[in-house]
Amino acid sequence: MTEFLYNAWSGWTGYTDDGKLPVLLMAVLLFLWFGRKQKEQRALLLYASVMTVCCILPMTAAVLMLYQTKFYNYEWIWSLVPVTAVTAFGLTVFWTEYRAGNAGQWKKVLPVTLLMLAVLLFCGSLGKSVWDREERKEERARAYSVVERLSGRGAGERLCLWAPREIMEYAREKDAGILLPYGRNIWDGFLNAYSYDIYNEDTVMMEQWMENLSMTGEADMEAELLEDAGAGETDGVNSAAARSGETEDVLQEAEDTESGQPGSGISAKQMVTLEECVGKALEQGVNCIMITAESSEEAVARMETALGTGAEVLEGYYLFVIQ
Amino acid sequence: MRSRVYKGAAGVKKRLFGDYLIAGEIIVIGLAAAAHLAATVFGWSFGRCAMVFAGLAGAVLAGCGAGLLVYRMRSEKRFFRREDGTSVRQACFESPAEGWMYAVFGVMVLSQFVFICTGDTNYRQGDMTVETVGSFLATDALYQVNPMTGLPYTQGIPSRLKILCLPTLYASLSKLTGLSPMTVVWKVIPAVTLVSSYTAFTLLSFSLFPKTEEGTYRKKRACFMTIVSLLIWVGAYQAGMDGFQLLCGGWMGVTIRNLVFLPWLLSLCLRKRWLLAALCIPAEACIVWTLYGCGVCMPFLLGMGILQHCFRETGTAAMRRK
Repeated sequence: MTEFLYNAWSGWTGYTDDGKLPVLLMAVLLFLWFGRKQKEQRALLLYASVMTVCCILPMTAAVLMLYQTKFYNYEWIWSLVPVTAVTAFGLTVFWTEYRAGNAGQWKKVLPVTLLMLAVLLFCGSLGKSVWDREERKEERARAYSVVERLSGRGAGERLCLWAPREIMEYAREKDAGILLPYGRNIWDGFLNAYSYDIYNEDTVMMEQWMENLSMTGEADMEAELLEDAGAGETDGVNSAAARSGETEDVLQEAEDTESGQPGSGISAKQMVTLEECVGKALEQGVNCIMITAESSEEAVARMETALGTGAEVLEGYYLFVIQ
Repeated sequence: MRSRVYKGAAGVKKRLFGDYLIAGEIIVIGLAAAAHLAATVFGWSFGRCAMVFAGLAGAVLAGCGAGLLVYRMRSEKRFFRREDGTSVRQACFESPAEGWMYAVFGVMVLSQFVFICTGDTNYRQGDMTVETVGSFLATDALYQVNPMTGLPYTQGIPSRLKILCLPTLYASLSKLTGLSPMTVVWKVIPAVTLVSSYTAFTLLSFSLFPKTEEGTYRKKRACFMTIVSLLIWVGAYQAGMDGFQLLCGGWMGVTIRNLVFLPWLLSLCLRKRWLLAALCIPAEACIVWTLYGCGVCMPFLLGMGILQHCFRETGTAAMRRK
């Protein structure tokens, strides 16, 4: 319950960080209750007011979060409040009544209309997107192009692709015939709610190694792994990371934790080599590997040796197809 | 016979054309759910499931088409030549202000439509609909492989999730039309949701501002719709906001619930159309993960129903005292 209470409070602050539409809703409700004598649609007003208060107060918000299940985040409890409908209703009533009270006096009506529009605009984020659309558009177009060329090469055998994150992210939405050793749910933790499946230690290691190669270009990676991260867990940090999709966070937490504490100690550092990861990939049926073109010459050479095949260059990546 | 449509106490027609449109969408969702559940229970292939859905939807659409034709034939005379002699244009905009407001509304809706259809706007964090639809089509089976990897499930998926029918509906549309899953999920469905949402809000405007003698209700409706369209743009800043959901996630079940079902439900509650309103509850259970079917529509309907009953009782008691 404490967790729910904390989530409810932090959820409300997060909900009002970027835009202020909930604040506008409250202002509209205050106007509709206290700003005029006439009160039509009282049932709607009362319902909206009660639910708004319930969504803001941490205790009631926590109860609503329990009701909607852990599948959803805080912001979804606001589904119970008709925010757009009530806000538009209140603003309509305000504007039409003000206009009727000042009929023919455009010098009075126009500034109020403009002020209302300005308030509306400032309640949003003024066009600021929650994610970089242009950057993602380019990334996606590049990934689609790579996947299209890969799909065209497939002759009979199904392609099982292991590639950097920016390719894996879009591979199956472009071509659902492509198989992957791990999907984007390994870094997008919300997606793990859709399945009971979890990734094993080897798969998480593969993902970490590929990310390390993309960032540093180095063939070997030094990894720190938790030992005995929790009772009943056989695969320690990796299973926890796979379930939550927050590998880096878990590893950081492990670094911050003092060693020697029961159930949260850190194991010795482990060197993960290219050959080791490639072996694990082959065990999982991978028959096509892509690595970034920024990889070191040594990494490319070792990859060629490990797979017994030459590297091809494909749109900024080295491609290794295993026959 | 003037019309079988009668008016409620609030001065609003109890059945409006938009009601039929949204009820039709709910019927399509219901048919998809029936085909999906049958395929899940009997282990049908996806192709067979899609054909069953197409057959059911075709039959219902033919029936609806015939009904629509009869409706238009009956209302045609009144639509083109009004009893008071005014033209349709005059009937649409009775003042310049109303015309301007609808012009702004039109520009807003058109820009949103263009935004959905041409922009790379889909927000897919925590969503894997396209991969799921693609998996159905690629494997010709429902939920046999993990959409994230294409590999068979080792542990399976929650059964509450398995009964949700939207991926089957989208995959069926993709198979029947030949459009790619990405086009269906990220362009076609959000465009349909946008139109449906504005239909629901239009119905709500009719309920909130019923026909009155003073005649300002038309301006109020126009103003309401304009503000709604502005709020949709303004609210496109954060996941969970109505505007964001409509413009960046129109294919999601929660969006259809929040932006189509709930405004429509509210409109029905205000018009006291309880039976039709109750239709939203099973529809929600078919498309959104809910706690044993108790999602948002049910508490919303209960809350509004109880409050309206209380206010009616209070009003009646006050009338008696007078």
